Amino acid sequence: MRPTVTIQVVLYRSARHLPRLVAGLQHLEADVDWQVRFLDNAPDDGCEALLRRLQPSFPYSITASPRGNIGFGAGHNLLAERAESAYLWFLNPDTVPFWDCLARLVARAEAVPRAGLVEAAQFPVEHPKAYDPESHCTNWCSGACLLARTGVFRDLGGFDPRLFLYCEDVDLSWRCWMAGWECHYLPQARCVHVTQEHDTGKDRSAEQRWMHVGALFLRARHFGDAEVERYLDELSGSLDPGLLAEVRAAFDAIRPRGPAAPPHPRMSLANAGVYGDARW
Amino acid sequence: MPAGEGPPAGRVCFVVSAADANPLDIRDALYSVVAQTYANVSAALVVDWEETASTAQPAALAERLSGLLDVRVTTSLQGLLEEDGAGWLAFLGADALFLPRFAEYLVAALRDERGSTAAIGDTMLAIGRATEGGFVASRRFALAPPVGPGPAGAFIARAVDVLACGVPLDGVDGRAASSALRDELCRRGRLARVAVPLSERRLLEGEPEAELATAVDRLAARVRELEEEVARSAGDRQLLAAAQAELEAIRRSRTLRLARALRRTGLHRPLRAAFDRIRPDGRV
Repeated sequence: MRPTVTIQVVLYRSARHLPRLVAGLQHLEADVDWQVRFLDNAPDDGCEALLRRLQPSFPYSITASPRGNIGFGAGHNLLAERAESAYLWFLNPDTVPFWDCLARLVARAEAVPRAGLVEAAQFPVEHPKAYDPESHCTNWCSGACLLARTGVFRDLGGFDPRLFLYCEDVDLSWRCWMAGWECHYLPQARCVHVTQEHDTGKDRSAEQRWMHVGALFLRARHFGDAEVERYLDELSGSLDPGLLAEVRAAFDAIRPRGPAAPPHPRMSLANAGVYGDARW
Repeated sequence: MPAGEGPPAGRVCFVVSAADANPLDIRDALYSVVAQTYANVSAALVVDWEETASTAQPAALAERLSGLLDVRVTTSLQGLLEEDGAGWLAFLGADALFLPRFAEYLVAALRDERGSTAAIGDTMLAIGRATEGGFVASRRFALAPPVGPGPAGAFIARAVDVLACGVPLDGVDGRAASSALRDELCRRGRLARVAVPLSERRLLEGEPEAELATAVDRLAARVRELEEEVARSAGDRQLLAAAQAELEAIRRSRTLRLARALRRTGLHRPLRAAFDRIRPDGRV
């Protein structure tokens, strides 16, 4: 029986990326039954009409978010509720998978049953986080181009919906490790991803705020209050006071309560933003 | 002044020499064109200098990417450029990649600096392993752009200037052709520089020391050239300002990263010595 995959894309004012993504999906070569489900977090942004005009050659559906912009993780959770496939493939709208990307990810997951999450290499600039070149194990997987076993994703409770943007993938990965599954990085599977750093002309102030909120959330949930205070001290020396106040307020609204998770060797705060050893 | 006066057409054609290249490298070079933040792009795969080279594999790649990227395969770069109608031409060795902002930044630099005939950005030197699916980086360094004699790095130029400069583009090694082209364009005008990594050279592990040493030599040589320009420019404020600005850009953007990266090899010493001669205000 051929493996089944639901490709999930959460859109938010993504019209400029959609033609390339659709073209990339149309070039996929995989012995897999797949369909695409879009969730539009900004239903007035014209993406639905654009998709109709693009006339994708693959099966797809698009759903408007029921409550405005519900964020990246909650959007994927919503899409995953209805999925009946063996795998979920989370794809950012600003990605273009290589033609063999899906086939390689699925082949890896089929060959290694303990791999709960399998991440493709981002291209042309790879993420610097380290991985084991033999086992492909890595501390965490980016959610930009990530294959997950549907059952594992559901057992883990999906992405934490309190994280609106950023670090939900690190959090999911660490919970994956703690539950006894592995996170894999597959450098042979590639996906074009023009990351925020290279997306010139875009206002990144909201992204910066959510990045810090996510970093605080990870510390509170997995390391405890001392690491939260340490990070806040760092921010107070570098962030604009107004932005720092916004970060604090947003974090206080979602702050995990209770004791931190038990330590796990795959959970690391080393190398800011890399969460572990860096290759460069 | 460059021949290309007036606003040229907007499309950038990315020229990749494919005669002796690994198909996975060509694939990656083409996907790096797909990744451009500049909207209007196409690609040309040139198979034009090796008698045994075949257009079959490049043509299969072009077919595979049709609909995602307009890729033309040619045995005559000269002929293709005369017909193609692109406003800008970008050149790259097949063991390298264009980074996403390559065309956006360099076209802007050429538009801003009308006396320039070519534009170049910094290079990331990526050192890594060959895998079943291609190249995987294990280390990356920021390097100064190659200057002076030697292989050309990735650069961009107006199509009209390329066609007007008379460098034979057919029947020679693609890298030699693009180096000769870059040199001739520089002879006819200025080289606009953007101090941001815009291309990536790829080396397999085991090769890097020689490449890094070359990069250090090249950078140190450029610093010496600039020092001489500054020394000669007592009465030429424009030359002085340009040389000082470039020195400052090199000092700010590359020195520390490169020196740190090279420390373990000992190759940082000549580079450091060269930069120690530059004062913080950019003067030598």
